[in-house]
Amino acid sequence: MTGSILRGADRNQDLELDTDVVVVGSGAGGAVVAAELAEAGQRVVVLEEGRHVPPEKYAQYRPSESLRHLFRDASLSFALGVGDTPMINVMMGRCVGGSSVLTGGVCFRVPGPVLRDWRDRRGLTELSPEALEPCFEAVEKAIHVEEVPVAMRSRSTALFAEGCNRRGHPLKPIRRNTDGCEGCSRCNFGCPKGAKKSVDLNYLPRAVKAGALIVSDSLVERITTRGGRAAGVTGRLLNGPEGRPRDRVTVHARRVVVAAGAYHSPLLLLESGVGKQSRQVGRNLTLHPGFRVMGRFDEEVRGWHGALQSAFSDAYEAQRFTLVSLFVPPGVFAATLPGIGPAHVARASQLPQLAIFGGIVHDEGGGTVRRAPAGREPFVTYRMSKRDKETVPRLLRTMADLWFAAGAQEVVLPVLGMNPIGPDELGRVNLDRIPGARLECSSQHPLGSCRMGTSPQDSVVDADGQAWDLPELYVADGSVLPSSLGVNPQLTVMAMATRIAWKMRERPLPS
Amino acid sequence: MSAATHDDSLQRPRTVRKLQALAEAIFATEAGPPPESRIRWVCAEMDDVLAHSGPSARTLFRAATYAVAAAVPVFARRPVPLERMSLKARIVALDRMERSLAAPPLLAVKALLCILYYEHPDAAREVGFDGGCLGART
Ligand SMILES: Cc1cc2nc3c(=O)[nH]c(=O)nc-3n(C[C@H](O)[C@H](O)[C@H](O)COP(=O)(O)OP(=O)(O)OC[C@H]3O[C@@H](n4cnc5c(N)ncnc54)[C@H](O)[C@@H]3O)c2cc1C
Repeated sequence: MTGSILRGADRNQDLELDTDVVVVGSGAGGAVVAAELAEAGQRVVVLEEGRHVPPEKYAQYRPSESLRHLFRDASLSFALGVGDTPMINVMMGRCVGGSSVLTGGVCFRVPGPVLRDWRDRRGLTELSPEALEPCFEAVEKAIHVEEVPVAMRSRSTALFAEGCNRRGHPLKPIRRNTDGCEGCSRCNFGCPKGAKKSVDLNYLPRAVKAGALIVSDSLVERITTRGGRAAGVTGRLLNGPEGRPRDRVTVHARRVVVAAGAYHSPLLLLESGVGKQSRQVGRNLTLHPGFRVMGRFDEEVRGWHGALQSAFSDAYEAQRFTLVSLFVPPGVFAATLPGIGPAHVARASQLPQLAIFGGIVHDEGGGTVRRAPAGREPFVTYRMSKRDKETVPRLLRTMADLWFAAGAQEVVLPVLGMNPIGPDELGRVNLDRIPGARLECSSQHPLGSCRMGTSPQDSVVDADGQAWDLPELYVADGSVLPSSLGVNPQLTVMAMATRIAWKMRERPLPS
Repeated sequence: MSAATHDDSLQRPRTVRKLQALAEAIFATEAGPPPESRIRWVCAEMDDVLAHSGPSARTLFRAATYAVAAAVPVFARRPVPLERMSLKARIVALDRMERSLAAPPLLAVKALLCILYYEHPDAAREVGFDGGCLGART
């Protein structure tokens, strides 16, 4: 039996379906569950709010066209900083394949200390390294995880490595889900060569091959219940003018899997009245707040030639941050360069001499997803913990110091309106006193807002991913992670989704 | 190179004029503002980007544009609306604003303008960018 991808936007009438399992969201979590269950012989329907853009089409996009067609809200989603916390630009995918289509391909397994914390502090003894090993193995094979060779590093990353070497912490190679990457630094806008093995190229085709139906442009608004258990979903096809909701979509299912990501899974649960028991839905959101620091060198760097992300440093984990190589398009570089008019243009003209890398905070959380008074998107706030706030100046100082160690003439810190600083100025800049409102911060890793745990008092789902409040409702995406990871999460999200799918396969479907 | 247009537009003429005035100032060189056709292209692209974002992001962006426009005369210390202010005065005012605590709305507007502006092949070329698959495409 072969399934298919149905474009909800092209339909002009209501859609009503009956299936074994309905999966909400086709990103890293949803795609894995869909494939695993369909291949086990279950009838699967996947409903995805975003459109279906085939790889050969997104390969042609300019970066800003990807923002329009593949990112949620054209990448203008924010978490409102509370209590001297910066406003954080949170990026997410909204397309068939979800954020997986937009990753830098970076793949990390969940770090050992994090796993131990889940066991010791949260009581999740089931999530042992041994139990997760086959899940990671299955995912790594499916998405072709491989190490990035040193030869693929851009000059920007080579300079970052030089700074780290001089400070005695050599960089380590990153693993990515790629095959045949030629290194043109635009993974974040959809791989132009099909070399990044996002879920639209493996898990979703596998699900379709095994009979699953994927419906794009299909916004799920509510989980329906019958006899005290989840029994399907309802929503709207986005087939109205300008992609607005119009016709109804109804799916009757024996099991419901929510995999709408850490912003929208809690929103859907809240709108469906799930989670009243624990009052934990939408809480505990973590973001890995991220900062980028640029160095200006005398030499030509042209950092866009090479792999977007190829190396990292975990030497600072005790200080709660991780450093990763990266690259951004010229417009993003320019946006963060201070100055207006001739001063701005002069700095932008130094683009070929600029190198960049990023740092993410292994955060404690403090984010909350709530229903907004109006509109489709949630209202999200984020209050940085005291410890995380103290981490930020240390992180920025370390990053600047590494650039100077590599020989940078100037460093541009992510502080709004701050002029680039020279090597002698770093000691004089008081980074501890910079108000949150002046920090430029972004996140690509929202996690934990429907977290997994051992009791409904402090979690939303149990260790198998099933909601405490509603039998036959599962959550299988980044929102179930019990805490932040300190490293990029897609591999862990997918391994956890694999485990949840395997647990679901063991349990007979309700009649 | 043509930019898309959309029904669901931010392009109220007043907003467009404000964005044009801001773009001219941000991307001006000693020789003056960039070519008018390039600014028009950026604003049309901006319209399309915002048409693809949700209502809340659109409202936020529009609010940021108006907040910047309202703040410019304050930072310029002249009671002249943004659109009628000289290029030089706009640059001075925006520069002061960028260094102040009122910078976040300016960053929002500047960021989106920059992302689009440097996708224009001529603008990309001017800053020495030659990254085929990351950049401008006609
Ligand atoms: C720009 C970017 C770069 C990244 N780079 C990396 C990286 O290099 N390495 C890494 O490990 N991680 C990276 N990540 C993070 C990684 O992509 C995510 O952690 C992962 O995809 C999360 O999976 P998910 O299933 O929770 O959500 P997603 O993959 O975001 O999928 C959720 C899907 O659900 C859909 N949806 C939401 N609500 C509804 C609804 N009501 N009805 C129907 N559909 C709905 C959404 O449209 C979306 O497609 C990156 C993320 C971004 C945005």
